[in-house]
Amino acid sequence: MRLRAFAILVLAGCVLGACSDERPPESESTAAGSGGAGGMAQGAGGGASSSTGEGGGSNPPMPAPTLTLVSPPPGMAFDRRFVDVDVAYSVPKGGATVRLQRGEEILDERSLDASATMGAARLRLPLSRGAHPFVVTLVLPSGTTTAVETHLHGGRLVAASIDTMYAVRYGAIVQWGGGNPMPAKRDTPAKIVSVAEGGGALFVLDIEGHVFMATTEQPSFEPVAGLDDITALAPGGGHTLFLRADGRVFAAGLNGRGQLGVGDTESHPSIVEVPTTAEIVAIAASDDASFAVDANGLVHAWGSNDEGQLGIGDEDVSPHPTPLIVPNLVDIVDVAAGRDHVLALTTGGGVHAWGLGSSGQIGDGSAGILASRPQPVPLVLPDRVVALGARGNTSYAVLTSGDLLGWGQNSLAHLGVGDTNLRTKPTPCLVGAVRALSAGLTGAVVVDDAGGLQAWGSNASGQLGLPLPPEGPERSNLPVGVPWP
Amino acid sequence: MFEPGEERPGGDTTLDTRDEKSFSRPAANLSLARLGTFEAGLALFDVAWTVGGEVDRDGLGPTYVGTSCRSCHFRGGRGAPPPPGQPMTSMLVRLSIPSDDGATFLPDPRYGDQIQNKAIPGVTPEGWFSVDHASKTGSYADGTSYELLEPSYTAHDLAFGPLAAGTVLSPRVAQPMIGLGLLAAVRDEDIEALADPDDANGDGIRGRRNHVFVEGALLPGRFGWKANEVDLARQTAGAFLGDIGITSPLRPADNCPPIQVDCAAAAGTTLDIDPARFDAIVVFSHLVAVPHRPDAADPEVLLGKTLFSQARCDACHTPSFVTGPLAGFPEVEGQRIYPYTDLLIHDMGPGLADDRPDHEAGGRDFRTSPLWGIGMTNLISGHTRLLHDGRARSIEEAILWHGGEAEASREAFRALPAPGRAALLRFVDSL
Repeated sequence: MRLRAFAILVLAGCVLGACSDERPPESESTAAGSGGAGGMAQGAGGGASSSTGEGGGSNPPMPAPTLTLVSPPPGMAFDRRFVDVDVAYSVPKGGATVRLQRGEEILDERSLDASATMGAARLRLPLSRGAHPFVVTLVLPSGTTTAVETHLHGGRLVAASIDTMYAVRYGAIVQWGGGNPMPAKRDTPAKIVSVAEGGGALFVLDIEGHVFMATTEQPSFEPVAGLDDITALAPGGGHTLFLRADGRVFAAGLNGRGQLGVGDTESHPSIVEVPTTAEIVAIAASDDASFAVDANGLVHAWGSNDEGQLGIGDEDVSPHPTPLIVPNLVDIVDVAAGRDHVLALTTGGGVHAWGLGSSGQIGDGSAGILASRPQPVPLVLPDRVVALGARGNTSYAVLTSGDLLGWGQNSLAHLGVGDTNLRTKPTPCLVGAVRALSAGLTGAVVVDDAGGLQAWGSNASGQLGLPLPPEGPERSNLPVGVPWP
Repeated sequence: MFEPGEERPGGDTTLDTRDEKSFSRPAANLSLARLGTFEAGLALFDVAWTVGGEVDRDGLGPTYVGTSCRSCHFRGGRGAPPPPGQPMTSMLVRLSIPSDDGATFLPDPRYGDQIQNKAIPGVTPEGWFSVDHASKTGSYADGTSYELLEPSYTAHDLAFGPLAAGTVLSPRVAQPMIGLGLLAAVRDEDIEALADPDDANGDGIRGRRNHVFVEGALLPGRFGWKANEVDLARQTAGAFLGDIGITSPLRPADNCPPIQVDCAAAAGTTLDIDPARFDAIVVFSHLVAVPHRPDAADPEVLLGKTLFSQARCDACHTPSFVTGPLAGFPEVEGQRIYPYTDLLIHDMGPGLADDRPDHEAGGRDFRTSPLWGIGMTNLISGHTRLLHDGRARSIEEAILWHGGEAEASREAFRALPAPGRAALLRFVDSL
């Protein structure tokens, strides 16, 4: 318990101190003397000096091994099946192993380069629904262990519709806006871990992987038949994708552009399975197109391509009812989609964007009639990205530091950057320590590292938790704290 | 040996930046008035043409390959083959039925000389090709093995029946847009001085000019994969018509083979692009800057340059010219340039042959590709595919595909030890 508290404390220090910029220590002496660095755990248990077993006791004490969580930030929410966990380590001598565990279960393990006494390692965390604690352990050949403990969240913690905000809290949904700025709990099924909105439908996911839907016409949540063990939701403009824990993708809804990916253009009100050629790890839906990342890092795309959103090199008006592979795009781990544009995150923390660019939402410095990009373009970013957000004509990227960048349409103060000028390149939003994000059509909402809600953009329906206009503001270009009920 | 000036391969047009937009930036020596025309041309290069409604960009199709120049020359860069089983997006397939003597060809009677895989609403697309690759392995003299990909093509959804017997396929990726006006300004006599059609010097490398009939006159070609276009205006007009379905002053009639009646019915009767705007895009295509070479004096690069010369790669990839006059384009005149091409056609051997005779170029002949900017392919285009059909996945593979007149140079490369190969590749990559 003491170790756990220590780990969380230093991890929080890492976040607040923005230590993610730090590289692994450059020298052994630095490593040994850098006890103040955030996110680092010193050797625990037996201790290095007692583990050499070489008798005599005259050897100088070995420097203690260290292990630092570099990414992702603790408590970050993801709605994909895998998350890469990066750690930096220093060891007195080579041959150590770094291990990722949940409880007793070993989820991933890497043997470290025997010749290196410091370096970085990446472990792959299979993410489950809801709160997801895990431990990374550095195991020396002597048996000495050093561990950092942290947690992530599987699911979307917030959602922003055109006039209402939703947030997951203690397995239930809190909502505000929609004409009532006062956050209040909404009746939902139990143990909700994820919420998503699109096309006028509100979806929630429970810890067991059941999906429930509510609409304006049918405001109480009803189970969506034909789905089980779902891990991610991706509502588009009139269709929705569902990702199951085994990597299969299901869909339902409008299909005039082939956005369900089942080979036809007839709507399917009930669930159909998308025939993908590989195991899928992440999904996204734009207004009328669909995107899926496979376990090999390729992006599959289907549906409308009228703005080049399929990334296949050109716009065209034909439906694309069968999944295509986006050419010239590899090593992708996650994807997000706005109305007609797409963002993809690489294993290295880079972002590629394509599709409609008229409002600057591609982020390559262009806006206007010539700014659409029917092939992925890499973006220039100040640091590694861990998570993406997109909706309407806006784009967001969360950096490993928890800082947020936004770009695209900003007429309603969508981006929270202090004004209402559109941005054609990733621009720092005036909010930090972001752990969950939902881009919306009129603003956005985040959860910060203290669990607090912050929202910006339009307040026309009380989305910022402020009194309705004219008593309250029409909008805010700065983040506004929204109290939990 | 570093040669002062080679770090700025486009002469005064060279731009001292090297980033993802470097293949669509204006030459460094343009006047303000010229910049305006360049930017108008760039806009026309990027704009997606439509059918109906959009007054200033109406005229797409009836059949086409892409909706804009940018569709294939993305960010002014190079095209690539599609993923397996998918339609092409930045390359196309030409069709030809070679004559018995192999000296000329006829277009396919139903599909013309190029497949247009897309069509406007109400018109039938001609069909499309997918690409598969078979592995072909080899090894260097030092035993290191390599793998090449040999492409094959499968037709799908051919709307007007099978291709005519004997039709051969010539897949072509889009070429990069940099420095084209400089190449246009290389003097004919300088190119002809490099030609050796009868191999008089006995080095196994001939080098010929292609010649093309233009309005009754036989003129030397210098653009296109087979040097089959004499100038950039004709190259542009050909691509507008064949690839986007845009009629222009030089190519005023839409391309609809007789059997394609719905295509003919949808064809426009007026020019899709007017002379002023056509001229703007021609100006643009002459004046895209060549990026500089910050690593030109790096020791490993210079070692690679020596090896490039020792392997006689420079027998065809001629390093340098001084440009001559070019009417209407003073910016590109009198420049010391480093394009690494002789602008001649050479027999590249059976491995690369597409069997398409094109004017005086035979089925195995291709123009020496300029190498400037080749190391920026990934940054600009997001891939590293090279050669006329994009089969090579790297500069190394492109070299290993060289045959015919280039066989001796390829063998010299294969005989190099690994550090030598790395230096030579580093040099080419630095261009």
